[in-house]
Amino acid sequence: MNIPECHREQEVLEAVRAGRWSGAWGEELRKHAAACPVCAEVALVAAMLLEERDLAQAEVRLPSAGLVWWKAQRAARRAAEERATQPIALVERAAWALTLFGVFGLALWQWPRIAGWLGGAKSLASGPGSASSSAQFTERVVQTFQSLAQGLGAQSSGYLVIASVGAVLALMGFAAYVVWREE
Amino acid sequence: MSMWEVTLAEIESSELGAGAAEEAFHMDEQAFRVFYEKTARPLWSYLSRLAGDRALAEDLVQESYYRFLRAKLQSGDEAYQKNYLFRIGTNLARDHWRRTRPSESLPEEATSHLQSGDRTAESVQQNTDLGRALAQLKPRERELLWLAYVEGSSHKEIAEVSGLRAASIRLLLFRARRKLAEVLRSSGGGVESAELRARP
Repeated sequence: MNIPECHREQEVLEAVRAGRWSGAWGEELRKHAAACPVCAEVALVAAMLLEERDLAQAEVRLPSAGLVWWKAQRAARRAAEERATQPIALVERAAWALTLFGVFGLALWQWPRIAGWLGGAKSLASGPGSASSSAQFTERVVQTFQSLAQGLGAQSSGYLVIASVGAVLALMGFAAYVVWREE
Repeated sequence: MSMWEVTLAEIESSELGAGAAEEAFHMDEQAFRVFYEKTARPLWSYLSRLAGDRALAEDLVQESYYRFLRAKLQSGDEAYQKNYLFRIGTNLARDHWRRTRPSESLPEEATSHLQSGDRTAESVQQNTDLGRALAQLKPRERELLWLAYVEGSSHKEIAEVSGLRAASIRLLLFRARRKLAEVLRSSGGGVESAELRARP
């Protein structure tokens, strides 16, 4: 695109910005702008924007430098605190995850007993002759898990215990490292 | 975390460890005060006209200084620092638009604040018209025009602040200027004084 330009454009802008445009010093430039559409446009837009700046400056609402400095310090400190507590939060989350993992492993390992308790509870809850479809469904689910647990539990319960102990040791090591680094 | 979530009750506790936080900044308090006095008013004016909201401009200014203090600057040159600060402010304003205003142009209520205040009726009327003219531009056009004609920034500096390529600034600035001039000419009345100042 061909951009119309004038070599005195910058000069016009400087005159308007410096307040020399309307005075005697700007007379020659004003004559030029009368014949130059580019400079006339620059002068119009610059004058309008500078008026807008003057109005803006009249309504400025700013806190003191000291307050901004203090708030920035405060925010920086909070950010530093957050960074410092991040590993602790991470350890907490890992501990929760490990606990859930352990509970799940234990449940899988001891599923036959749990299933037995569930079966007992179910027979207690359902009276004689009240074999509903939901009870049948629960029984099927229990049987499925029971067979699954018998298959898995026997083989992997030892591995689960070893994995849990390993994870606890790793977590303790990580927590010790975090404490050591913070100190 | 927002830096505005601060209560006065925290002032005392904030005194503790102040040195540690100060270490995170690239300038000391005295230098900051000098820099702030020089740049805060221009930055506020720029952001208030960019955002069309005085309260928002105040928030953006404070957040800009916070981020500026935390930044790792490559130079201690004052012009570089000022451009960097304006760039932060510009980016914050853009982020705000993206979050709150999907369309580029400012809504009518964004400029309604220009009608309030304690200035004379004449200047309010003038301000309203000028504000409306500005509101018809896209935020990026306002950025470019303000930086070029109010801050007197070079094309290279405008590119640094706006994140645009320096080579494209000339064309974009020309288009924005032409658009604003057309709006001003078509709006008449309120821009009389601007035209009087500019008219040969």
